Amino acid sequence: MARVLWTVALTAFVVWGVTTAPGRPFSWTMYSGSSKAFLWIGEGQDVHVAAYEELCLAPDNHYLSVADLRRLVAERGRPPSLHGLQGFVIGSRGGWIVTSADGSGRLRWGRLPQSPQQSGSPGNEDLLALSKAVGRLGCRRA
Amino acid sequence: MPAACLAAAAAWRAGTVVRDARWVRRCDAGQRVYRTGLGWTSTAQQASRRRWAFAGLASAVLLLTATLLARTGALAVKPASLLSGAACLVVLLWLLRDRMLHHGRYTSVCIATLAAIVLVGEVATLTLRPPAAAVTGLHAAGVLASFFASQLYLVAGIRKLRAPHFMTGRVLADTLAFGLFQAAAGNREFVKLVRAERLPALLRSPRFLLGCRIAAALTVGAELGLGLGALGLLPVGATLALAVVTHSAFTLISPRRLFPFSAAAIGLLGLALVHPIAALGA
Repeated sequence: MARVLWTVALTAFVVWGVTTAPGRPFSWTMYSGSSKAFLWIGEGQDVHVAAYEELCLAPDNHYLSVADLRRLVAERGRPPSLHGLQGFVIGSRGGWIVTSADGSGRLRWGRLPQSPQQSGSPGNEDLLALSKAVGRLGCRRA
Repeated sequence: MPAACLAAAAAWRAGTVVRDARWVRRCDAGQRVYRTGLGWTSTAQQASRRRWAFAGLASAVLLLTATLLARTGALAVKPASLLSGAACLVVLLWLLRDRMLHHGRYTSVCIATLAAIVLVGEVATLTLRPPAAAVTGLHAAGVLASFFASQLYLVAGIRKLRAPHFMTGRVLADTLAFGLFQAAAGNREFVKLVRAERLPALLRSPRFLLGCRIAAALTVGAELGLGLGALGLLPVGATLALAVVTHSAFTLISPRRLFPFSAAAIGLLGLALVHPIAALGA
């Protein structure tokens, strides 16, 4: 009897966990989706991967959407500037190319172009664009 | 083992918060950093977070000490349970206070669940008469751990199964790409599995995406398997081996600060296997 009661309770708890809003306790949505920012700062020889301290981004933040990035860039309000900021936000909501070329604090963004004739696998053009950018800009740190 | 896992998870988590606070002070004099979805933090919030992290760290040390002293016979069972119980309570209070300032909610929930269940076991030991006290406490804790551990793994597995972006392998590919990118740029949160010059070729390789797709399917299978194992429906050895392999792989591709989640989940699972739900009435 005890086993049956626990099993019924567990079934209800699992159904609730699967259907509740993501982020709630016991919803366990980690890795069900993603949104990662691959960013560089600087120009020419000074181009390097944008470090968390340069962005003023807390070190436990690895999920970054375009909306959060826009707010961060606009409200950062301290030197050094994010001159030459460029990169991608890639994830479950698609791929975005981002720039803040004039260091004005405003972020420009757009969908990554789709070119199925050139890509090896349809739907992974964002990774191909990232691969080209990493090859061109490298992974140098500040 | 569950107490040791809880102590390790709490200590690592607390140490990470203290280290982050130092990093934030070096990064910005006003201690302003941006947390996605949570906005900008303030100096007062950072200071409070740091203070409570020291309380969490002290509790972890107390828990481990009480457990070791009880095991060696240097401390009687009831005083050890009192100290362990107090430590678990402080861990719970710390995590409740900390919940709004970070994104480690799943880690916090996992550690807090383990702390609450260990506390239940210690309360049973303190309030019941021996020799039933220890056995009853352990059984109660085991059933609770079985309940919560199986919910964790089953929900995690089912959620991923229903997520097309995960099942195509893209979540793992994006996660791995980000970790390798950050590691190549010197971020020590991530393990440097690949040299920077090999990264472009890896990202455009069809085998990379195929590997991620296979890994996604294996992950779902492993999580559902662990859910069944936590219920007592699989052999103990197989469940523990699967847990170690799964969490090792998870730790390898994740930031180091997620180690507490693995430690707490394995602690929960270990406790579940002592007296799982399937063993009730047997």
